[in-house]
Amino acid sequence: MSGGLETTIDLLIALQDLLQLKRDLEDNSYGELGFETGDVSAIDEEIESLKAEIDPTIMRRYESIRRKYDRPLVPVRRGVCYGCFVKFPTARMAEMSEGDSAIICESCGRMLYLIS
Amino acid sequence: MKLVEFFAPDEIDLDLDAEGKEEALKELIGLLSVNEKSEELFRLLKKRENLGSTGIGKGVAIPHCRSLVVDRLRVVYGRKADGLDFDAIDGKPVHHIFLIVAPPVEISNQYLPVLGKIAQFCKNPKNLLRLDDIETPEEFFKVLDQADV
Repeated sequence: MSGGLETTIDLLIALQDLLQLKRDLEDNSYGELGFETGDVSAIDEEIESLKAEIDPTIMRRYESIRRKYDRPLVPVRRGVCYGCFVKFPTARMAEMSEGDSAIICESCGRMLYLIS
Repeated sequence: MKLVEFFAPDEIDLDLDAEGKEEALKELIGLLSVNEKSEELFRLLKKRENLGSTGIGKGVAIPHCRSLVVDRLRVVYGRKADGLDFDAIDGKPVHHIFLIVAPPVEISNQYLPVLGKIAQFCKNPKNLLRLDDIETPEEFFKVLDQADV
């Protein structure tokens, strides 16, 4: 089902993008633009399918963070968490690697992925 | 901001090679240069299209989504003179495709306004006729500028 999504981060990005898509389609402001949306609940099946492919421990962490934030997963760019915009110490940045699904922002608790 | 400010010359393709919807989406995604994240973006756009075509009729399609794949709002334009099947709501071929991708959060909150501006621009048949005739990206910018959206 998720052919081409290699890493946990890829799966989490795909999941979060789908959750965002669903939110957007259900937004009244979007509805006013007049685009066809069909049955939005059709996304739910794919969301559940993606969740099933993610390591259960990571999925539980993601859902736990999601109870607090709409965007549990955010990028780190130029050493800054794009959830809370706190800058990481250089030494901490050096420990991170792209694709690492275990990085958590110590300031806001969100899951992070690194953008080079 | 005016619509013209969201486009760059290398994000305009006046002669798409694509023959169908999926090829067109891939070709336009290529203009974004998101590299290894292209596949994720394609899947998301395809999912959006499966829910309802963004071919709004009169030869225009405006595929769009938000994604973590981009770090700022991106808009690209592609033209297919002969038209291609985009499963548009009027059943007619699409000649003009505006692809819009935005991050989930933008400080300037331009995603919906830009979608609205493009839809508004495309509602005027004269604008589409002008786009039919342009031969360079610079002429594309002039058409948008003249439309004053």
